[in-house]
Amino acid sequence: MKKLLFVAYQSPVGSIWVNEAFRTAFGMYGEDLEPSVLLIEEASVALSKNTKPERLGLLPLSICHKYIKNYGTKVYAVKQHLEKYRVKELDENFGAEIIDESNLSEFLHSFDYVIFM
Amino acid sequence: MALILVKYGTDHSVEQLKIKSAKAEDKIVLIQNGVYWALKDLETPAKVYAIKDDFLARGYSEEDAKVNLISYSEFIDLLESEEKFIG
Repeated sequence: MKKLLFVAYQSPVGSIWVNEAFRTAFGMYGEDLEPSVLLIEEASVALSKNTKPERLGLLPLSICHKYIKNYGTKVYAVKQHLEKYRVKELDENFGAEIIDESNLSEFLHSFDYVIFM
Repeated sequence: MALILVKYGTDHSVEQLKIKSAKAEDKIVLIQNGVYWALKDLETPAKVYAIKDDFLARGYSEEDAKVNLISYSEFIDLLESEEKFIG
């Protein structure tokens, strides 16, 4: 089974790419592919408990939570990027694994396909 | 080992991250606005290529490129030859 990684780097507020990354990832389960999602740079704020795109009429991040649990989708974030964007309280519904920036190269190379979106 | 596609310019933090992540066995292809990286001395152990048409279309000459220039069909050959893709 091929391993795919979708990397979202844009803020979930002002763009819809975090939700799009998850929606695309969930669609892969029907294709015998194993998707994961990595949130980097501005997309790191998606993991904050206090981030609410719905305040601006955008889709809530919580719509992903049920599917993340159902599919067991692995979610990753980078420690240094969480610090850079001052993400304090992580929303546990993402079940995110935090990786160190120094391991990012190895991490990216552990997937067959890495799609930045 | 992996083909890494860079399509945005030198101020883009994600493209900086991709180039920084490249290993010696990797191939980096600069495409669209990613060709601006071809004007710089890149610090990477990977082999770097830029799409010739995208580079020339932005007003540069072949002599300005600090990396190998390739055609779109050569780019397709590179894509097919690599098992992994980061882009």
